[in-house]
Amino acid sequence: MASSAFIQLARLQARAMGYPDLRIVVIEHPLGGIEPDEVLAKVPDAAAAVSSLMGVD
Amino acid sequence: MAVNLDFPPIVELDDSLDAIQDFFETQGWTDGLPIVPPTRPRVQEMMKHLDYAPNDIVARLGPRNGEATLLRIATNAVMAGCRPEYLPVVVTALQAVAEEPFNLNGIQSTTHPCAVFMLVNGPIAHELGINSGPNVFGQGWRANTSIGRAVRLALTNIGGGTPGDGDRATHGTPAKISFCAAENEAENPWQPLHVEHGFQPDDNVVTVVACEGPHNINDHGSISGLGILTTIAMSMRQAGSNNIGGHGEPVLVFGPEHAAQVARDGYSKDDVKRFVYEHALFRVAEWSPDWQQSERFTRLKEETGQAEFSRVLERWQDLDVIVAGGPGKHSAWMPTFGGTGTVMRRIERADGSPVRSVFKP
Repeated sequence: MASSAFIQLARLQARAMGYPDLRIVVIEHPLGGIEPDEVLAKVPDAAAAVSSLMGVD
Repeated sequence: MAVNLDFPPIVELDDSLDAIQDFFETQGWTDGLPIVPPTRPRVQEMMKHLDYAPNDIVARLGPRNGEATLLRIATNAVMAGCRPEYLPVVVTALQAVAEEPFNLNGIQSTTHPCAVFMLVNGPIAHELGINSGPNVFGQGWRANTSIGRAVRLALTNIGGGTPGDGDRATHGTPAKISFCAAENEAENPWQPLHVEHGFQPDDNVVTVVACEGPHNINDHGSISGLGILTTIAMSMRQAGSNNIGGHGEPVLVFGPEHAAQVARDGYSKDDVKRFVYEHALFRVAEWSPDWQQSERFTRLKEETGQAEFSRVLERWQDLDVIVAGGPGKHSAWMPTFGGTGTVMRRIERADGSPVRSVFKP
């Protein structure tokens, strides 16, 4: 998982570590410095994206 | 900015300085300033003072895990405007930042504005003309500026620390263009940094620290060592510093006049460190109210056993104390990224023998 502002870094690091095709779930930035309920609001979409990548309903 | 991190073998360009600058800029290979074209003869000349083979991998640089060969480092050193005799310092600095305690991956990619501060100790500083005196962190000395610049270019072009891509700094700092200096050993009333840490006085040592640019500590009023140290400790208790909570090893740079006064009043280097440890405190009640309620603060209280205040240093030994600069009642401190350690490395040849002089055998 990576927040949207850092996805380029995530892909760079994945390539550098030998995982050029790493599947990365992107969460809208920011995650830090926001209210707890704002963080929780991002969970459903993130969970759905993880499920989809893993082929799980 | 699109950036090309894969070097082509040799690039043929129009014989025009503007065409060369445009090309390098378009590739994302510069720091925004014009570069010295790394022609084949210049790069060959740059490597002459080191005994590594051109394709020897001297270090691996994150976040890209790029292979820093002597050839690639020399190319960036030419671009930066280095003289060939500077390359041993550049190479040693890159080897040092690649060591695990430095945490180069974190330093390169963080939102924090940490630069790589390079301090040079030993006779090589004078031999190469690395400034340790007036305006030590500013402009004017080719060695200081080009060595620092070469390291930054290598971290960008080999390591992948390109702004907006692998480098995620929110603001950055001018210190990320270049940040290299020598310690003012002649005016240091205590041991220079490298001797303090077990090196011989005539060892040539490069120390690297991932830190912010210098924060000035102006004290024209104190006439005692206690007074100066009090101003220093109060200056270092800074909200918003990554060192609050005792993470990392900040750097305290005494101007020579402050150092002389503090030493004259009987303070050793260890005394200075203990004083800062005891007095550079941040009252928790002065923290952001959101922080005071946060899980991080709860964890900090549990880890440190301190509910009332937070220290800048985790241990009194965690302060790097150096002397640099010229006349004037100023000192400076540099907060670090926090999750990083100072690394010191002797300048050596490929066979591990120390480099005592670049010019003499």
